[in-house]
Amino acid sequence: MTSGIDHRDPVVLFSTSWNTHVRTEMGAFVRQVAGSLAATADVVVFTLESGPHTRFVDGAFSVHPLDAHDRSEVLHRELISSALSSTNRHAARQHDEPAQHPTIGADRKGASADSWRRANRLLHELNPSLVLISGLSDSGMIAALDASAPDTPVVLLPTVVNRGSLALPSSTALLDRAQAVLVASEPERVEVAQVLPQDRRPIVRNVGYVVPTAAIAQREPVTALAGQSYVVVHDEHRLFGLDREQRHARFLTCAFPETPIVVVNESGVELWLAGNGETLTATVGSADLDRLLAWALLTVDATPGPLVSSLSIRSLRNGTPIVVPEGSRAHYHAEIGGGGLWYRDLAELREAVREMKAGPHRERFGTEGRVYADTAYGRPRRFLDQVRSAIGACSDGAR
Amino acid sequence: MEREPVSASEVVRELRETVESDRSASLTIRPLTAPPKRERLEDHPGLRYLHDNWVLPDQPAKSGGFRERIGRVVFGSLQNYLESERELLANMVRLNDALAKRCDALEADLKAARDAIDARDAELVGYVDSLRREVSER
Repeated sequence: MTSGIDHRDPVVLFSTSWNTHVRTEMGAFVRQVAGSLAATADVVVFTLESGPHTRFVDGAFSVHPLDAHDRSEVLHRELISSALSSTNRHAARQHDEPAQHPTIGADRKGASADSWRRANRLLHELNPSLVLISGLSDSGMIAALDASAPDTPVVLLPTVVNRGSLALPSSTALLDRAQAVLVASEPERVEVAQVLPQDRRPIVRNVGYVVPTAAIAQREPVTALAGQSYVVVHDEHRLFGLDREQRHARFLTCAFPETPIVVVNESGVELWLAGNGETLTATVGSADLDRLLAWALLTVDATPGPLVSSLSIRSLRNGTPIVVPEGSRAHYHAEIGGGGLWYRDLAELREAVREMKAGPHRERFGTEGRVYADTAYGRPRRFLDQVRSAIGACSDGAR
Repeated sequence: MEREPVSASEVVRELRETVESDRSASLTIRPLTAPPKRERLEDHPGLRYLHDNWVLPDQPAKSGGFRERIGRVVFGSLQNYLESERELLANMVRLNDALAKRCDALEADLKAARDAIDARDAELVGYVDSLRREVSER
């Protein structure tokens, strides 16, 4: 299968953030796509982040921090984007149409274009065969690209986490410029396809996302929980950089006092035992997290990842069914993937957990979910082929 | 014949019906279970018997003759012991009296506490129902 890129051709990736997003699903997806190309091409990353050097090597990537003079500009942009996302999500659910924020979007475009222009000289020298752009919140790099390499095909990685971000003016400009759009999931593909104009449609391809798991997980439970019937609850204590109450985990501890609740968040793992009020806190490694998930009765993903809900996928790949909020990306895994149940409020969450704990469906959801998750998110080779095939089609179309 | 497996959507629909019926149902708190009916311990026949029979004789029966003389000798030599025994029995009967009264009083207190809890539960149900009406009217 051809990727459409000749050996060691330079490929440029414009990414507003690089190191700061490495642990997010969006950052991981961008790295997975760029990494797929790195075997056959030199991938050069331009980012607005500051860096210790004008160029540094990060694994397979050569990174050029454009060293935005004012770091607060980047942070400000990300903060506005987060705020718009949360507002738009609410608006989209209520009115089923994305909210519009043209003024803020226009202001930001002008500010970032100056920063991206610093890449002009190097872009001209590189003469890339392909350009990847990640995110929808900033279209300032298009001016730099058109000034230095106007005919280069563009592949957009929109990393859409809600429909509201597709209504930003920057996203319209990016979708107009792109020859292909690569997305990580089917719901994201549908959302992007819905906003594309009828007359000019770039290729929109769901290439998937790779969620690795540890094979050792099935062999042995986590020692502290061996022999116990526990529920894993993914409930982040910080979202958008703000502290939040872990109300789902607290609620489940009260609703099922006889069941150990294991709370997983970015900082690690906490075991809450409601009966005696005991709390054990531990930071676990990646393999231990898989063991934790593999031996749980079920996983409640109360704060699912915004792009693909990777913890839900990880739970399903370990054969453990999920209970997730309605309307989240994880909802797709539960309903279409047949991996579990979904809820609208705490009363429905309680019933769903009770059903899953006691009901006859748990094993079936676990089995069906595992087949779905392994097929869609557990095959790196398939991901590689999908990316190369989409980019090959895009490059062929541009010639 | 094996049943067709129920889909996740079907399970969620059934769960929602359960949740909705729970939400619309009035709060119900059953009264506390009453213990079986028991007679007052103060009316116990054993207690009555104790009252009637705790006093031991302190002199021999008036029969006259040799038997009465022997009886006086025996009672005279055991007088101190018999007085102590009477005192012991008297205190045991008083203690049994007090215990019977305390048991009956505790049982009455328990019933009063149970009645108070039931009354408070009834108030709580009324309050929750009024809140529910208020919320549904908004």
